[in-house]
Amino acid sequence: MRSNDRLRALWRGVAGTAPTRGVDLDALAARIRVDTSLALRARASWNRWTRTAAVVGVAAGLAAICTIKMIPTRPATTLLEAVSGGEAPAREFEVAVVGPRDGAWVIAAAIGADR
Amino acid sequence: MDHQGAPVEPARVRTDLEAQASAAVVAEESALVERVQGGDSTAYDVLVRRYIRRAFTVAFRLLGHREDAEDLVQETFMILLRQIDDFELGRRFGPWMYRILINRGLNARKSRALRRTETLPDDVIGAEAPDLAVERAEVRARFRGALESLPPRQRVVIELIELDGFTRVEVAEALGISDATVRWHVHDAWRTLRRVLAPLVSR
Repeated sequence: MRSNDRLRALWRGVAGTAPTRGVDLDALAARIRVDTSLALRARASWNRWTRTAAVVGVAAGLAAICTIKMIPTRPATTLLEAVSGGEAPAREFEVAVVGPRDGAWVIAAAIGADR
Repeated sequence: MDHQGAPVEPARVRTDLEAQASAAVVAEESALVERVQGGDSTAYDVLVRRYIRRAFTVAFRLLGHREDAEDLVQETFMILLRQIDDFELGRRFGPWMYRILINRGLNARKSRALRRTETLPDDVIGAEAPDLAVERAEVRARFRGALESLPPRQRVVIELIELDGFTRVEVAEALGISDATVRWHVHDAWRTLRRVLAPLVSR
């Protein structure tokens, strides 16, 4: 468009270019390079730390699983044994804390189940 | 001539060559980005030096102040570095960089109290007779006023294309908009500039 051309010519005549001549772009690039080195180094050490933490975590988990697997298991006790004490004190305790009425009910249920 | 013996249009040959050159640049930049992802700061320096001049030009257009423009360029390259793992290999680095630069520049212009816009140094404008200088200053001021009346994004579009030699495709990629939208921005911006600056053209 003709009027665009005239305006464009006027505009380009006065706008100039961004003043890259007066700006030390090499220095700016050098600053960016320093920041880049620091950032990449931090990133590398973070990655290393994360990897180490992950490896240690997995190793600890595996060790815990192995330890649990190595604990000897006892044969399951019957409900009657559980409520009458002897081989399963934990269950005896459980019944004891429920209370006399509930305890009696549980004992009766256990005996019934066992039989 | 192609393999069938038919003549090949010069425009098509040029387009093919451009496509090949573009593919080579994409491959090279992808390789550089991969090296950066592996922790190589030298590779990033190559990318920075490739784009820093144009990035500064765009930043200066957006902010109108040299130091602000330098800060914006530095900040942009550091953001890109932090997000380097998100870069899609097989694409050009430039549009990704311009997109972040322009978005941040527009936000900075909107939200930050910027230092006063610098006037261009004399060596850029050129030594001239005083009366001519006054006239040029007046024309420049009118253009500045007219550009201020444009929406920020539209102003960026028209400046990048008319003053900084970006193509419409490059602007579309940089701003993440379609080519049609860029065309519309250019058309609308010129309409506004023609209306506001009509007295300049008629005198």
